[in-house]
Amino acid sequence: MVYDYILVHITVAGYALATGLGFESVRRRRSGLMTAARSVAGTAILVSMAVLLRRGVELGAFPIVSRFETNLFIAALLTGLALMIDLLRGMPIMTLAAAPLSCLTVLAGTILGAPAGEASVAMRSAWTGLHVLTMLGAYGAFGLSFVTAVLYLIERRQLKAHASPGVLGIMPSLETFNRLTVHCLTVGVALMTVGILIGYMYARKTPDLPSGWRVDPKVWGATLTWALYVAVLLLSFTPAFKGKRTALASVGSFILVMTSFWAAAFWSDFHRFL
Amino acid sequence: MEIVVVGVNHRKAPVELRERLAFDPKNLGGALEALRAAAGSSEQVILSTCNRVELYVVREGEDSDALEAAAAFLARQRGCAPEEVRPVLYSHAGSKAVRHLFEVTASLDSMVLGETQIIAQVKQSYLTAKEAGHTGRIFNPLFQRALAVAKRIHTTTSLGSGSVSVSSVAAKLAEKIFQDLAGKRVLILGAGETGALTLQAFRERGARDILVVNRTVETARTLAEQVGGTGHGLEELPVVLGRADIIIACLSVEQPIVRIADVRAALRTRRNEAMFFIDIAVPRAIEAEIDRLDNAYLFNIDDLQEIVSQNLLERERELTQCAPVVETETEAVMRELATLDIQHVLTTLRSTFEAVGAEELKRALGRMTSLAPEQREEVETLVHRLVNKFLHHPTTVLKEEAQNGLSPSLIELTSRLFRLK
Repeated sequence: MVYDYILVHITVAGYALATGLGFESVRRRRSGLMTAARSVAGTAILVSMAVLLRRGVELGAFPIVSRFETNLFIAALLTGLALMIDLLRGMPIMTLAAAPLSCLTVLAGTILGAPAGEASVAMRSAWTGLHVLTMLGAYGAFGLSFVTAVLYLIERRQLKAHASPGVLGIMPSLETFNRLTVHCLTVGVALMTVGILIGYMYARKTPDLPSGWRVDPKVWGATLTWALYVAVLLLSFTPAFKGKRTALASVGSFILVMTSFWAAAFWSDFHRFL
Repeated sequence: MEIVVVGVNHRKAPVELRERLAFDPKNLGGALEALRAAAGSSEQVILSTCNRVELYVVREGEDSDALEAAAAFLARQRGCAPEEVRPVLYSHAGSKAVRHLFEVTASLDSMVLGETQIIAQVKQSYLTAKEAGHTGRIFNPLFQRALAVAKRIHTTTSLGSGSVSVSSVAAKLAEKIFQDLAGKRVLILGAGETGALTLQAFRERGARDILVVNRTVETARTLAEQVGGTGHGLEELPVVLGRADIIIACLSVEQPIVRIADVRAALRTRRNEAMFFIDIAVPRAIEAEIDRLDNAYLFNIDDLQEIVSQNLLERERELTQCAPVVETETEAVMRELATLDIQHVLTTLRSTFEAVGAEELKRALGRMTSLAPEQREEVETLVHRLVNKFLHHPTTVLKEEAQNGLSPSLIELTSRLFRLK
């Protein structure tokens, strides 16, 4: 467990360093520093995966069993997706924006949680693993939609203030951010739909699961989150919602969802591990 | 040997004089030949742009008046009086000339700081001179180095960043709103020169779908034909507005003709897709309130000029980053040039001594016919050894001096002492 803490602190330092290098790259306009930031962020993701792999081997189960591992996984997913978009579309701002958020997420995981000593019987099921993976994948996609929406709003504000294109620096166009936000929302809703269905099927097929699972706050929270994001996604295709309103809804939804995610996890009987 | 540059530029010479002094870059062969004859130089390059005419030469002696010779040359070549040219001429020699070339090539001495056109112009001037056989062991490495220094400065500093023309700033801003300008429709309102330049900046970035709106539909159609778009009269503006993503207004009007109500309607027509308005007309042709609409972005001429000023200021600040690069590179080139000089002196010195030794050996051996082959060999070795011993100390001293920055006068003295050519 000590090794896990050491590696996780290396991950936190990695995300922090990637953030620093990224900002310095923008300030000094040196692309070499951005390459270094990407490499450091990529290394932090690999270290996170190594920790999760180690946890999985140690527990003999799907490794995401506590807040500690959940946050580590979401942070790696968020930066991994951002890094992928950055490398594929040449958008360093994605890595730059995701790295600090990941740093805070992992830090929160180490403060509020600890590596689990053992995995419950439920966590040894492949269905549960798939359920957790798809649900967290959805949160990762929503997290990324939050990042792109915030960037959209910042850039929009700068343009409305008649800022120089130089000030906007490495920002891609508003249209790009808007499209990315909608793509992330679509992926998130799709993953969450699959995740909820898997969870529901698993609950139905597990006879020893107490019947109270239907009124579990986390189950309700997830269903409401799904409904909220479906609404935001559908609205994003309507003319009146295009641009700023989609971005604001995406940011608002993510903040609301994160709040209910944590609150529900504390109250839930079935999802305490989160 | 000394590098000298003499020229006129935008700082001192008025445009009328620069126009008259300018050489046709495609027809420099004759001028280079004439410059060689006038300056008595071994290498020469003429750089002629709209902002400067500069003559770069490598001259062997240091005693001639470069300014006077250049004034006479320019006057003869371009048909004006030397008195007219002389007051605006400047000249630099040695390291100052090298530094000047580096600054000119890197666009640190340009009218628009950091513009990149000068790099291509210097390259073209050098290549023209090279192809005509006017560059050699000094100018070939020097001009290549100047181009490399310019590239280094432009890639490692922000000198070239930030657009410095209204048209390119407008196009850059559009790239911050739309993902790809290639698929966007541009509406140009009016047929003014600035508007045409702005439209050109968008066309260079791939915008092909152009709508031209003008008071007279005939003028609109004429301009539309030139740019491959469609022309419309002013009365059609409310209808075509909703079809355009980018609107460039350069029409002279007393009251704004693009009103907020029209833009609201246009946004509804286009399902709230973003619109970018560029108002370069004075008085303004687009209502300022449009900027309050969610998906409408408006920049007027003052906004654009403010950005241009900021970018120019940014470039000027960047000069402090460029100066050390130029300084280091100038020092390095001067060291290399000194080494080149000394290598030439040392090679000539050795060949001169060896020629004298060979001649004396031949004469002596001709008189000593009774020598056995092994004795002849011994005499030959003796002469070679003597030549090497005589040359050893001067060679060592000259090489040491070269490393410490050999002065041209020492090379001159060595050449005179040993009658080197």
